[in-house]
Amino acid sequence: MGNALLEIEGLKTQFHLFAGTVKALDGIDLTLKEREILGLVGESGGGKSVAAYSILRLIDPPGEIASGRVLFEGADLLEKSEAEMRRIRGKDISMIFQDPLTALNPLHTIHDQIDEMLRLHTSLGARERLEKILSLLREVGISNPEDRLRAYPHQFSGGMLQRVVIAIALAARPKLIIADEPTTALDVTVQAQILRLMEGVVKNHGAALILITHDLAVVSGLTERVAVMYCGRIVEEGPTDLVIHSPLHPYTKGLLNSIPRMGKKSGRLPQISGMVPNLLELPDGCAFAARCPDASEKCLRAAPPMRPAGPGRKTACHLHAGGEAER
Amino acid sequence: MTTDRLNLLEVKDLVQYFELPLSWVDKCLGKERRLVHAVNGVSFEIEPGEVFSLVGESGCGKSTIARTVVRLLAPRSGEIVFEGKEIGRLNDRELRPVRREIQMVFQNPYASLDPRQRVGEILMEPLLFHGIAESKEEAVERVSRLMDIIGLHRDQADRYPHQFSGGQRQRVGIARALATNPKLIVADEPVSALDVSIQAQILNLMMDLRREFHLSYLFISHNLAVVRHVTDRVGIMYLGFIVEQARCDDIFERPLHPYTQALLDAAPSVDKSRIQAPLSGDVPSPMILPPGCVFASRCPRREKLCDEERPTLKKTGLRQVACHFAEC
Repeated sequence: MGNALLEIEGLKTQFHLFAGTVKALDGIDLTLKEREILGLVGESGGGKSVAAYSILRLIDPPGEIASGRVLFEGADLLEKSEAEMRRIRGKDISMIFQDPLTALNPLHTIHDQIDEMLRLHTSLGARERLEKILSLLREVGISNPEDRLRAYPHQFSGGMLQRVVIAIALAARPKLIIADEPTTALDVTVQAQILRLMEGVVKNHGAALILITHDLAVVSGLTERVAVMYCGRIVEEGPTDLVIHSPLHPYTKGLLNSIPRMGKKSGRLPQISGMVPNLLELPDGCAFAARCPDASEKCLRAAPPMRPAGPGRKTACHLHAGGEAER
Repeated sequence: MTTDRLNLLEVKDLVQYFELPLSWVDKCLGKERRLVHAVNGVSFEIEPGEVFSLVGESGCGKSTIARTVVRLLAPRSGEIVFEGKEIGRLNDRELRPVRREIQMVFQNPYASLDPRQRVGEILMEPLLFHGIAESKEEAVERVSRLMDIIGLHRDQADRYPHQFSGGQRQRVGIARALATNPKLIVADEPVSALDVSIQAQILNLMMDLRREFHLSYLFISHNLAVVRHVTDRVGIMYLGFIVEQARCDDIFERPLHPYTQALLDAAPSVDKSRIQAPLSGDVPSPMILPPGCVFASRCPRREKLCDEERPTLKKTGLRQVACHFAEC
């Protein structure tokens, strides 16, 4: 415990479009320890998915990882060859996608799709692989796995498919799992089951998890640390309960306030005014300044850097320039 | 419900099912047509100015009810009474004046606006079709007023939907529904495709409009927290049945049906430190309904009776619950 598994330094990913360059990731720094569960939260366009794809080097043209370092167990993934990356994807770092129906191949059985992972990344023989597949399916809560091996994805419900996807992600015993909105496509009661399952298996396997979601509520139940993204930058990072109960950055505050709560009924929901700026025309200053209730002239001039703000916490806001967490 | 007050909408014993198409192979084999039982005898009322929500997971029939109330579908059986008049069996021509009064806001603001029409044209169409604006000039003037009401700039009426963000498009969708001065707006998951910060804007707008124009809403959602903020009364749906119906506060503070309780427990919340998963398994298929309680297969309080006998809806005042072991 305690060793850094993943260190991202100044990662910039850009998309060169006809209309201009979109800075989807504009210099993010992030560290993940072994066995840590980290939440990456933000609205659409924040850059959370691009961050995940950049870690795995899955950015295709017109996109490009412009600069930065992605150190996985001390080695920079951005300097690896494509062949080396292919051995890392699925083996050391695996991914769970949002929509399980599109993540799986409709023409192959459940058995074959899990088996592929084991054939590529382990040296197990055929009989051992079958045993392993059955134990994986049992672990993700699929009862009578022997009867389900020959089934195709369309014969499963969404929740069951996501269990299969999780089994595939776990198959090669990866050290890091990246889950991109793993429960957004699922119903509430099934979402709860899948989140509990992910928490359990990730801990069992001793893997680290990056959970990408737009839903702060999902993060609060599952993660130890959370990073909030806005317009390609991390604007706040810290222990989940602290960030949720005493947010520092005005965007985090606004996001938390605008979530309808079940416990109390208030007349109007507090809302963040305006909308996410066009990523092609990001302002020079703080990207949130135009929507920020506390913005000053300084915010419009210069983008605030990430600064420490209390124990284990960081935020990128001029209002917290002193380093102390002022209210 | 007080009976002396005229309800705006009464849905009585609504049944809706769909036939699954058979492939020619199955036809040759003489297989029987299979039915999807989407809505199985649902009743509820909406008073003038009231917001009633239907909540449930996918496949529970809530969207089918929405589409039947706006008469995109005809009910298989049961009645839809709008302002005292049965509209379930009216034909298209007879429905025209009713369509003015009942409008719909759709879930996906990207799919529900014609990409080839300017926003101004989209808003003008219902005005001209229903003869609300007598002349083109009056229609233009009304479109400008609609743009003001929903918080868009008048000049933006010349733009196409793709030039707007998701939240702005949903505002246009709401403006289109508002154009005919309806009494009832059926909103099917109006904010679930939107980002959190935009959700709050749209919900606030909808509630402002409710006050300003004395609107009633039939609000369809899977998100209990959203519902809590906008609703007067709630119906909880499972597999085509309303299993519990009550005033909003009662549902949240004293849920009676085990499914309602499970939904409340399962919903993630920033106020909860752990995620609970109270139910196992998935919603069963609506093709074969169990003879007993439809929730029995997942219910933590299941007993023998639940598998044998379907519970009837027990009513006390404003509360209704369909469970053998719950009392209002």
